[in-house]
Amino acid sequence: MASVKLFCARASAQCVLRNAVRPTYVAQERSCYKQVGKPEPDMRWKPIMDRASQTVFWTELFSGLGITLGHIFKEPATINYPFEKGPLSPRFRGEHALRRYPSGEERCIACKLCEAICPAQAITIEAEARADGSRRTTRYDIDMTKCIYCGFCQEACPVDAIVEGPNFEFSTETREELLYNKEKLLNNGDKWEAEIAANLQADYLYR
Amino acid sequence: MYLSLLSSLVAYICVLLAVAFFTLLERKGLSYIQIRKGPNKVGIAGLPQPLADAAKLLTKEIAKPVMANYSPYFIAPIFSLILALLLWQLYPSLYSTSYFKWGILFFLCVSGLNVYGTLLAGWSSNSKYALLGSLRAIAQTISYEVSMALVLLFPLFLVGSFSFFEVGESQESIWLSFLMLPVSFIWFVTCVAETNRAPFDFAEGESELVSGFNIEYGSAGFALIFLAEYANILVMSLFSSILFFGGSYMFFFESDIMFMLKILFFAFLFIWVRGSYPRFRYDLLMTLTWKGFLPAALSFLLLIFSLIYFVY
Amino acid sequence: MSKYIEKISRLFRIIKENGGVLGSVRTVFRMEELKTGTLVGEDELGNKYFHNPMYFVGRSRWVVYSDAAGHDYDGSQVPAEWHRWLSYISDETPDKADLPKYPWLAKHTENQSGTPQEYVPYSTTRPKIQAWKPKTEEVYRKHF
Repeated sequence: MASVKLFCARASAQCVLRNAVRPTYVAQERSCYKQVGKPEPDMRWKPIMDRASQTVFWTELFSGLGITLGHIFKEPATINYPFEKGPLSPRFRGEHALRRYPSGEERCIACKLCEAICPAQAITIEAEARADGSRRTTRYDIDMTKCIYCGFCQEACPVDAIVEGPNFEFSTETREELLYNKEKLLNNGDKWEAEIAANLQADYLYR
Repeated sequence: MYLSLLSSLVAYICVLLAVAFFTLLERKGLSYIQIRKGPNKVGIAGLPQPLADAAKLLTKEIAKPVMANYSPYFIAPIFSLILALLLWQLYPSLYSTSYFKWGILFFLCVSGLNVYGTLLAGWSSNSKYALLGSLRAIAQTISYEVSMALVLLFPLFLVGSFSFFEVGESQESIWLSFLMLPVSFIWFVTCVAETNRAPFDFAEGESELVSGFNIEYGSAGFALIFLAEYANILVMSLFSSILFFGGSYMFFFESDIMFMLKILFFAFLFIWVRGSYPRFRYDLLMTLTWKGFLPAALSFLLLIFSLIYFVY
Repeated sequence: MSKYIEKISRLFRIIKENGGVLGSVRTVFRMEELKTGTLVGEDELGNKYFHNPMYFVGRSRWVVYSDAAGHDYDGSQVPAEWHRWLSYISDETPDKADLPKYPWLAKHTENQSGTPQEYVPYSTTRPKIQAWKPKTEEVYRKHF
């Protein structure tokens, strides 16, 4: 005990000395060290015995097994897909559709902004004047195998004609079925208009 | 003669069926450990899934890798499966037609040969991944065989018999694992390593070796390797339960059902362990057996031996 | 303890709702799940929609495909109106939501890939070039 006290006294004397000469120091000296590494193991018999029995009887491994056993009885997070479906946003970008005005007139005016902005160059448009003189597309093809579903086309569209609908269940058995033409896109619009319109309505404040 | 052939055949068919449904148990068990459901589309709750898998694997085209050495490439899976099934001859049942007096020696011989199946498969595929996977598996299996043989000496010394039957019979009053729990732990870990299962599945090592030694195999060849691997797991759980956990005895209560349940428990433990622990590091694996299990088993052996010699 | 009794009684209730043991087995065979919920509505294809907030979001709304579909049920058999509710885009069922109804709206069809009604792409424009048609055959007929 005595030696410890002596040591303490010496340390405090050093401290006082150091503080006294500190103004002359250039580099600051650290006097307060923290042990950040692995702490030294306690070498008394009881801790040694505890550690040894932990190693030999694998307590940590068994508690790990206990955790996984507990997980077995948890409710699985699996969604039973075709019956239950995961949540979607109104902004979900799925299969493309060409929309119509409530009168049934097609919206697309063949401005070709979507074709211009499409980063994958998946859209091909050709336009002609219709019999009544209005400008319409004669060809509106989207190569769905090229499309990256970025949604730029519907952002670019000034008349909300091309949209990416909420449908994502349009996988096909052959590649050619994914080369959509105007009729297919319009038909998609006719099928999904109810939901597309409601989704656009739900989201119009944030556009 | 015919009777024993027939009984072996029936046993093998049962083993193969058990293996098939063990794969389903594994997929389901792992799924629920990971809070998901696993295969459930086939039939009711996915129960016929293994049959569908088997039908799929066996009707696929048998591919021949251009670089492979054909004869060993095709012999390897068959060889592995035969060895795995051969171990099932040791099943210590009263109704078995074969009785192995030197069963533990037979077990050591056959499981020692097991490594050649992996070696053949990996080497003859002539593919880098397959070769690396099989080399790892061989080094691992051979190393662990040393400690496995040492651990096997415990029941040998204590029971004084090479027969699995007698080892099982001798545990009527107390399981050997109660006498030396750490040794039975060592035994189980050695079993896991011996069958190349997670967390010691370096033979497969998806993240580094794609699929390990069986990467060039598909269809029937893959199915056979798979069957061999899982038959090995089941046979290892059989030996675990009989060597250290009392076989059909459960505290003065004896039943074959209890034996089955124990085998099932150990088989499930393989899956459970796979779902719980990450893969080991290879140098740690080698350290574990050479610097951990080997000295530990030797010192335990010394203890047991001196107890038997001086006290008993 | 009462928690577990409740779970067991729920199990029995679900089995009862699914038409006894046999009906439950049939439901599991077709849908892999035994669930209980309130019937929210039915669409024109005969699909029934259920809701039960006891399950977590993602499982709380589900569809039982019409018996006409049998085991050929498909995710694309849900029409647009109910798709919105089933995908949690809106909490209102189509009869309560103000969805547009136009005479030109098309009837819903499932994904028809692989059936005779599948979509086959074709050009919607007239060809830009008139291909040269060799007249050799005509000439041959005329002269020989």
